[in-house]
Amino acid sequence: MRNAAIIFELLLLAMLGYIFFISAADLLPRQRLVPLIIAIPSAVLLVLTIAGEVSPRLMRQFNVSIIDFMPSIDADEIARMEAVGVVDSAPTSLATELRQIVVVLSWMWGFFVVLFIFGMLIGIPLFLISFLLLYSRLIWWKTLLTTVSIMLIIWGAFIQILGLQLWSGVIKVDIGFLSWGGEFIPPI
Amino acid sequence: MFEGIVPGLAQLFSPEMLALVALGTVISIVFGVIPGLSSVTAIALLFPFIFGMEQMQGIFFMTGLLGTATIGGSVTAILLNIPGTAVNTATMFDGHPMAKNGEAGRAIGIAATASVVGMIFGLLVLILLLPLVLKVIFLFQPPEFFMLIMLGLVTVAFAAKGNMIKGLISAGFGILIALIGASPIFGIERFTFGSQNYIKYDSVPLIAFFVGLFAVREVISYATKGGTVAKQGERIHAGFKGILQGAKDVFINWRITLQSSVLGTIIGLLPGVGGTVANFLGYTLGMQTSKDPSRWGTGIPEGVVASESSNNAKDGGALMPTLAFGIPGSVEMALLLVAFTIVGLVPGPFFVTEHPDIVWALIFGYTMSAVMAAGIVFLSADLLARVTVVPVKYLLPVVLTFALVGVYASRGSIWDVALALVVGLFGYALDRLGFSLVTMAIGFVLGFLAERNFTQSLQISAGEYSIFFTRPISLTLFVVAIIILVLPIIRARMSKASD
Repeated sequence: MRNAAIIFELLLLAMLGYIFFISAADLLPRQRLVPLIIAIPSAVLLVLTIAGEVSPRLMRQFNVSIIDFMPSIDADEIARMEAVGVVDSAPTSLATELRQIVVVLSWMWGFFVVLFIFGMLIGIPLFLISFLLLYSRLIWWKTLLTTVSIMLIIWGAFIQILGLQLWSGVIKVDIGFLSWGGEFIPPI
Repeated sequence: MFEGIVPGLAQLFSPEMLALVALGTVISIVFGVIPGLSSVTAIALLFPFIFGMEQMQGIFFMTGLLGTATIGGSVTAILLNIPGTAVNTATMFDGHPMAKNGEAGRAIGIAATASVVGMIFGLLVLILLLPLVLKVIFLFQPPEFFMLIMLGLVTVAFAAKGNMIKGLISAGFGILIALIGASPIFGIERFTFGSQNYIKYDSVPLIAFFVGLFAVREVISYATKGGTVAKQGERIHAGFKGILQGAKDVFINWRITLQSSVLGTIIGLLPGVGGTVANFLGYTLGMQTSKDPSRWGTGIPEGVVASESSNNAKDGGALMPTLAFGIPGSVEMALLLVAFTIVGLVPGPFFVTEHPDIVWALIFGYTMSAVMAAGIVFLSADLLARVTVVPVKYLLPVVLTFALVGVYASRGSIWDVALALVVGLFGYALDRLGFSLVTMAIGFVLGFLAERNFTQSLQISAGEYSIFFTRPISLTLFVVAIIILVLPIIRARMSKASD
């Protein structure tokens, strides 16, 4: 975990350096003043954090919270309370966690790609059915029921109440009287 | 300020507004009873709907969403021995034993009534203190506001659990992310890397950022933890028996109710400390001041009264810096400020004097929402407990779908959807590695305000930085921030010396 933390913090430092130092060079001094006032101490603290990952003793000094100054309060007890969430989760190794992250991110970005190409009216049911059947292992009729329910809520809440025109996808489809898609891709 | 009472009250009692408060309350309670989800997730998912609302509609809907998740969370703490939200943890200590002793209805009656009483107490303190704060607020000019923002962020980083340095880094990143895009102060675009249509004409989109941070991240978090929401614990049926007795218990134990409410309100005033500490401190203080502390934890009404009145009273306290200075002390309050912006309100020092009707609408909305939540909990405790056993793997695609459609609905931009996914992963990594998301969210909300006040200060002083250190209030705020920053070092030295 320590190596992962160091890599992530170095990444943060690089982001900070590139976005707020290098790209700020073209700005007038007064335009980059506040970003630099915030970015410089943040970068210094990041370096300190990376040093702290290497030398945990240094970092422990800053593992302090207002709770530590309150009488009759056990900070560990509070930390345990704050961790309330999915209760039966078993501790996993970093490799397992990374694998799970890759799996869920693949689903998420797959969902985005399907939405982008085919639009929301096709992409959402496609994602829900495949996710619930393959990932959640839900039986088919419950999958269908859930998908139909969610589509009805989206239709009622977003289309009818908010008057939203859902993204219809970049692919133009013409099947008889049915025609959808062909959205203009907005510039990034 | 008091001229807003009648308009605020009149607005609340229209059927439309009552329906919006009720809707927000129901949604918030459902999110509150599902461990791991909270009102923050609910608000993040529902921001697009606030976009489509008028000012008062949005405000009343927010009051329903904001104040009641903790009441819902107490149901699962009592019936299942699993707190719906972290702020209900101490409720388990006596609530579940009471349920086991056949007093589930009474425990729920106590929790719901104590929550309403605690909430009303916190709001009464707010009403009493706001006029006093308003007298002081005119002493605050841009240098003072800049220092107040900095002090607020330092305090939140200090109060948030874990490492203070990481908390400060998160706050810094929050501010910096808020500065990406168009700068209305200088009339330029910064750090956009040639983006044509994305962040060039605006800042980083609020909704995509918050949905990413609090909904998409939650989905990733759920997926990596796996399992079902609630398998542990022994489920006990509530029924209606004893609910009225529970309501009476809150008033019979008035000393504990009052002491916990006072404590909760004070905790709420402190930026970043939050309801978990209020809940735990309220319970501990109740036990310490009890004639027979050994009975605590065995299923006594006093335990539930102490924990539930303290965690709800904090909301009134937390509203104070948010309304008076436009500086939020918690994620919930940061989201409230975002909602203000969405409905066209500008938070800041003149907010209370310019919009007394909104302030009173918030106060009445919070109160009404707490009363409605208590009623819902009385009537449907068993049903709410059932929601908790919905498996996580079924919730994931549902939350993700609503999150992404909601992000698209906010600006009609498909790239916002992609941004929410990126922010979700970024937020997950930050959270997992101990960086505070609370300070990042507050920093993000305050970023523009910080830059504006800093720039205005330098304009006042003709570019002299000494303006921040020569004015008494600004200097005091600076000194307090420095003291908070060096506290860890002093503490480390002291513990070393005592060793």
